Amino acid sequence: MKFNLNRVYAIAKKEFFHIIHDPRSLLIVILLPLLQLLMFGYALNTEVKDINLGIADNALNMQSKEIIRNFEGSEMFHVFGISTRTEDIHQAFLEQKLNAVLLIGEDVNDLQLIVDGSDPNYASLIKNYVNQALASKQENMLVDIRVQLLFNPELKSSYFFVPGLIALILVMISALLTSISITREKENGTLEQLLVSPLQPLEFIIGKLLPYVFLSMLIGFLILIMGLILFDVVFVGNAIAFTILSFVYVCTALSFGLMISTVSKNQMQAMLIALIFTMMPTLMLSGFLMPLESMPWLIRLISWIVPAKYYLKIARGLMIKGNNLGELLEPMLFLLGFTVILLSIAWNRFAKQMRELK
Amino acid sequence: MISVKTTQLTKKFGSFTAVDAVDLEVYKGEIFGFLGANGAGKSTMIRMLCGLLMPSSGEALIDGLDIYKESELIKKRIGYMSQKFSLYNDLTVAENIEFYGGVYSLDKKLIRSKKEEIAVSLNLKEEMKRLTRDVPVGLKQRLALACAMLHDPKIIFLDEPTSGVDPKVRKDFWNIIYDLSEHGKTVFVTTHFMEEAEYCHRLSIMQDGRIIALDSPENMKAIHNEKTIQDVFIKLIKRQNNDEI
Amino acid sequence: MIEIKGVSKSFGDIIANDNISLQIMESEIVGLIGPDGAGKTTLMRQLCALSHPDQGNIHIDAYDTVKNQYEVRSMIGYMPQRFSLYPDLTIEQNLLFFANLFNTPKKGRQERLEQLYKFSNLKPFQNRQAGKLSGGMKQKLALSCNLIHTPKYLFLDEPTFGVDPVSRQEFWELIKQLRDEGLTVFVSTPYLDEANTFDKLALIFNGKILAYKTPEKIVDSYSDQIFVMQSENYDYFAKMQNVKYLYLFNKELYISFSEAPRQEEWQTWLDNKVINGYNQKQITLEDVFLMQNKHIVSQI
Repeated sequence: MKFNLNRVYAIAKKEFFHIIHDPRSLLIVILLPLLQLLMFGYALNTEVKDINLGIADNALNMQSKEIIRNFEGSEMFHVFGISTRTEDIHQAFLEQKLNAVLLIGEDVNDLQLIVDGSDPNYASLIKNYVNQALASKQENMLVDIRVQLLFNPELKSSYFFVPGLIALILVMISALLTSISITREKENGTLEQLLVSPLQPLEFIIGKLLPYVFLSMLIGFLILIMGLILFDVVFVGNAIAFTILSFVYVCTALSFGLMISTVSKNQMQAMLIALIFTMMPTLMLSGFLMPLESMPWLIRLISWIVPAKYYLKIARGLMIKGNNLGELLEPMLFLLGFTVILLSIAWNRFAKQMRELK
Repeated sequence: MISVKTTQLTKKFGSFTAVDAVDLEVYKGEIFGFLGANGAGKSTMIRMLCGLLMPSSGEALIDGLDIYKESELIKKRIGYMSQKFSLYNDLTVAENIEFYGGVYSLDKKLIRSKKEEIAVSLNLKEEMKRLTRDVPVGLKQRLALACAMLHDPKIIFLDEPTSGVDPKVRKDFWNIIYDLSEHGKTVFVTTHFMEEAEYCHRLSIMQDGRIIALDSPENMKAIHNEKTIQDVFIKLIKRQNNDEI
Repeated sequence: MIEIKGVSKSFGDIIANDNISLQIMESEIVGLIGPDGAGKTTLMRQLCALSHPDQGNIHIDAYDTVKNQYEVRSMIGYMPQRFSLYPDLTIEQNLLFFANLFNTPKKGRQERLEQLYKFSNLKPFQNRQAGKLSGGMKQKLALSCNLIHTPKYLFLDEPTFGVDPVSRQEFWELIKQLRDEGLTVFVSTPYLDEANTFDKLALIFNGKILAYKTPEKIVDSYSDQIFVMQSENYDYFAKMQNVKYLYLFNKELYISFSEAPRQEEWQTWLDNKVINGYNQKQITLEDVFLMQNKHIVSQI
């Protein structure tokens, strides 16, 4: 029997009605990403302010005073003078009065920085800032470690979390919503009713996926626009290329959602599987929150099959670096490859289940 | 005229034989009832005839079409309604009708006229715009049947269509079944209500995948010398159970 | 004894129960019969202290269902409509869960379990998951779970939904056995053949109790005669003044008159081929049920 566009349209339209008849869920689907955006934007801020820095000055000369004044003049630091006794310093850390202590030796060139390492990320940030502060004024004293930051000279964290968040939301919504909506038909017995009709599996799938492609893309753009407005993200690349590549990524996620629906018995299972297999890898294994370079080889190996890793390259490349399509060919091919593999497995399983529904 | 014919139709799930070499001939316009305990094979039988399940062996012709080779054509000629009513509760009544019309690729004009037809015959007005979950169960049942009949099928399979509705609604529903039969539709029904069994033209009682009795309700009662089909049913099933022990 | 006094319950504009009064004696099976939406489940839930009457009160033995809801609940078993067990637990795990839920004393629990196994014939399947049982066995397990704490009163809301006649018969045999041992059972069912075997029936329509008698008396006290006419002239009779009830079913008209037609009238109808024959019908419970629906049936 021939593929019939009218039936695809019938399914897509019905799916659209499902979405708009449930405004509460729709609101959650739209508000959740925005909430995440705000949380990442304001809570997961890697720009550090208000570092409590204790300085123990053993040199007590012009040069050491100069160093101290330099820190006092910075917005980032609150400077406290402290004694040089090790016990006092230790106590100050325990009481969380200080985040770091700078020891100036009798020779001003003998500088030692002690940082509270209980939060390693914070500690390394403090270390960088102190180094920077010392380097900027004391060129004559310290080795000049001049760092030039490409693309993101102000080290704005929004540059890294907005693309990451788009990657996360696109995969979560696409996989989650499609897998739930398909398992729901199984659970309610409506799939059975469709199977006795001339409806083809392919028509069902395409009709089912279409509304969610639009919804996912819409929310993706929403995050992008909010990111541009609220967090001054730049977008230097080509918007059309971004749309096309995001679409490819959404297709990967939808194929995954379809796959989930063929292995889960009910909506609850589908939801759990979708959340676990999209959220964790995207957050942890894509280079979104933590750089992959610092991970053990096994994890890095696993990260090769995390679609978000490739989409992040694409999104960062287009938004911040201004890559063209040619330069993003590799991640794009990876995503296309995933889509083809996932879709063919899911498709086979699904068509088989549709033919013989137990 | 034969509408449905099966020869040695069998369905196995692993080592379990759900339907065991069933021969059946059902005629055009007939109301044919399937009775049996839960798991006796009624549903499996119906699901095979609808194309939801592939038989393990045997033959079946639906309106002269081969169940293996012409399943796509068969789908256009059959209607199916299950006890779940298979409506989308979060869609309105009208949206459900439009959707099922779309699935059978009926053209827009036809869907619109069908919608009006249903509104008149079910006496619906403002209910058309209401969510299906909010309409009474009796109405839902008739709506499910109307949706299953949108494409004007020749054969209709009703799998426990009256479970969960009250005696009045059940009786009204049977009036519709009679009407369908009068219009030449072949109707297959499964039910647990034995007074409904009496309404069928012919009945089959299934057990362990086989048809252990097949006749008109009147003949069945006469042969077994019982007053009601309920008594015949209990007698037959219990006898079978005792034979097995 | 259960004493329902003037109970009314509304949901918004809908009056689900309208001034209902009933007395249910001990060791009786009482059926609640009525159409969907007549207020059966609403009444059932109030009896189990799951919801409170807007007006009136219910006493189960000495306990008020509003003031003493926990005392009431420990005396009763309630099987809601389409009650389903935990399908992934075994029969035994399900039963023990309910035993714990009702906090039945550890001592004697095993005996009670054995007793229930014996009476329900579920013993050989005790380690089978509930989801893998047949419809009839599920029903028996659900019943057993509600009996584990040896309640005095049992409320069943359409307990035999979707179960085949043989299993249903077995189910009611169990219930009758329990009744003879002193259990009081209050049950709603859409199966009128079952209802015929109960001790008493309460007919409920539009939230009101229309009759509360034994099934025989309900049928006997129906004074109207019903005729079956071989005729499809629905409209002809629908227009007549003295027709109280009219229903077309499978080419026959079921009719009752406020005043039975005289012999000449029948003859005229026969001569004019308005009808092709007629006979008086013995009234059944179904007729009583159907005749409560006064509205004229829409034509298909």
